[in-house]
Amino acid sequence: MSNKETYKLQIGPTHPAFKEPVRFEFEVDGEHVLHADIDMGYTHRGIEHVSKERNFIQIIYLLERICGICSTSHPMAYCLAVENAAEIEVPARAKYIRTIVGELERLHSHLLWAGVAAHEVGFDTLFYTTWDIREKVMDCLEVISGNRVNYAMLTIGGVRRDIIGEVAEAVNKTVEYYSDLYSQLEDIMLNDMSLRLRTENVGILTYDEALKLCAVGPTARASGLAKDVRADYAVNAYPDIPWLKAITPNDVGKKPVGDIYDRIVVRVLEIKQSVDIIRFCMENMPGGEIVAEPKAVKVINQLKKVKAHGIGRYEGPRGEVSHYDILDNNECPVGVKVKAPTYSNIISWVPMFRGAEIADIPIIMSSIDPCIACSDRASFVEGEGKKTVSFGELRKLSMEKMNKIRRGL
Amino acid sequence: MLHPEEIVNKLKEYIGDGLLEWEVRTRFDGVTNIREQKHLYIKLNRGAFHRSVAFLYKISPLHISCPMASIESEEAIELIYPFMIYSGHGDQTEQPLIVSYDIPKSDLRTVSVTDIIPGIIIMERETQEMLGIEVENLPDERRIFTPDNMEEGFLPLRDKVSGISEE
Amino acid sequence: MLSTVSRIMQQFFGRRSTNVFPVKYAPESVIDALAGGDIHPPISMPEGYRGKLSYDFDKCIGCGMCLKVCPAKALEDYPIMDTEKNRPSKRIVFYRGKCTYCEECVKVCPVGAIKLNPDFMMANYEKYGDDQIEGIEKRREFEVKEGQ
Ligand code: SF4
Ligand code: SF4
Repeated sequence: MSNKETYKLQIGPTHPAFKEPVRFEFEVDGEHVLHADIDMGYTHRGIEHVSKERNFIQIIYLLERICGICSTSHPMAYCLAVENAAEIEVPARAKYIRTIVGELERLHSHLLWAGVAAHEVGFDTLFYTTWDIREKVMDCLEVISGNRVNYAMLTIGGVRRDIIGEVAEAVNKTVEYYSDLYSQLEDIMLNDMSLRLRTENVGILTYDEALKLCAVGPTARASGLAKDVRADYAVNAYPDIPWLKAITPNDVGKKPVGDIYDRIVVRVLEIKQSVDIIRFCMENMPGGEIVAEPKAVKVINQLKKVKAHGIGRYEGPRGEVSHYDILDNNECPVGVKVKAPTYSNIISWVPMFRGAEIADIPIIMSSIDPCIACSDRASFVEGEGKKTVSFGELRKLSMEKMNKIRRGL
Repeated sequence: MLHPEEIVNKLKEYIGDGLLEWEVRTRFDGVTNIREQKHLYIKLNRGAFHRSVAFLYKISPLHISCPMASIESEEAIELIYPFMIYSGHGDQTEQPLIVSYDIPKSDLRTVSVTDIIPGIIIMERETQEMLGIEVENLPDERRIFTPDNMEEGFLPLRDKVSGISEE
Repeated sequence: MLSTVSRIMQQFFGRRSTNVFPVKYAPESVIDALAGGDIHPPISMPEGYRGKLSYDFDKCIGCGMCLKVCPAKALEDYPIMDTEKNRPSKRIVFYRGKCTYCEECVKVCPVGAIKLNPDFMMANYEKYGDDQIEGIEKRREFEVKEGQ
């Protein structure tokens, strides 16, 4: 490297290459990035604080809106945490349904990511293809839950809708569709020359770095760190599946490098794994109840009598989602702590960007499948005139506004 | 792989009085293949925290699973670190290891463990800005989630303290 | 490589995956062309779709359970005089703009007064217009205002 002066390149908070607001400050020498600095907090909504004023059932739907893509993962982790604290037993059938919905979500999230990543490297054919294919799983989720996103399937102690009859048929059809399509998808995503040229040996995160920086999800697995909550921790129906294990690039006979290509490999293989898991669950689903206590009001009353801590963990499409809830004989929890997968992976960006070229910034950025909104979930809103407004104040203001707007009452 | 009780015994040997309380809670999941998962809750002395984490990390690398939760009481804030041990071994053998300690409100300080687990840095920065607990030896002291122009003394996740009154 | 080429061909010559939306804003000529056949039929809503909310004023007994579970606080109660039983009671209005379509109120209602319908075309310019408040006419008619 020459001893020329370096420059600071600022990208974000809003930038066409980024899907969500985050600000980077790169120190660049010519085309090479020497160092990256990350600044977050542009999409704060104060969800952890708001949770303290909602009852246990209301929180499920609040947390569902942390992220639209992982809208099952957060309620799942939350329900597991509350069930852990209150020692509620989930019926067997509900565990299978939870697994199926979770895997369908993973399927659509990985396809969505593949499209975004392809778009970032300028490979729009793949972008159209994956997003076109993805419609099928979205339709399937709509049939199951009644909506394309924000499925509202989970509740404390089980699920809210059953998978039977026509719905089960739709799921089986989706499984068939993706099994048939998989080899073509794999061929495009793993063997295409232009994609390989753009992604191999770019944005490397080594095994040691991944371990030290507590990376999670496909980002960690691509570096050879076989962390997968589904395999490591007993949740839902996953312990029943004998062949389930964390996928690393070793599964295609490749030594993990931790570059972007490896992250594509892991996600593509996980598409197949998800399809297999759904098929397994549909074949082995036990009968019986789908929820421990169907009456929401009774659940709230039951949880009012609990004083305990609970931890809930679930492998979302992007990695480990983890919740820590504190219940204290109250209608509302006294503490809800949320961790989204991107939160753990933000810090892994720093080694990935080191030595990269400026043109590779967007693809490195999207290679961890970031969800900034998930990570930024816990602070306050800035009001007009650059003044920080407290939550109570904000609520009062909005209520006043609403009262003004209401007409004719 | 060590059993939670063995971990506690080793830790007790190492830090002695620093270990105040401990408890093992069991959780089951699975349908045909029911797996048992042992959760270890450890309560420490504030002074013993850094040494204990270093010791535990030597047994097997720790993974920090969730940002630190807190419970506020009259005199102290209890900070809870949900660590995981034996991550990535597969076969449902990961063990949650939940470490907590009290910080008196008169002296809201703790020490960073980024020298042992570099990945914890964002969570410590969050703790510092949201709860007002000063984290010593933190390599990066800037705010992360709250705006830079936020008023001093405004602590979003503290129950009773707030720089701005509700009116 | 072959897969990629075949995909590109498909995208060039195959049918488009999406429809122009909303069709009514497209020029006449386009509408004619679309009506000519190369259009995807609208996807029919599956059973149990969670769309536009409707509320049956007469069925409701004013128990207030829905208020307790609604995560978005999208509903509001107001006092009425129940003429049949001759005692004060309450009824509900729903702010559709706030509703998250979670179906929790539907499940909790003991008399089935609330329903989610397959209708999903709800976009509107006015956040609190009459269109966006379910049950507003009944409220104007029956609400017992303070001091009455
Ligand atoms: S559907 Fe959900 S958000 Fe909408 S009014 Fe009912 S409970 Fe509230
Ligand atoms: S739960 Fe049903 S009956 Fe009770 S107040 Fe609500 S709408 Fe009326």
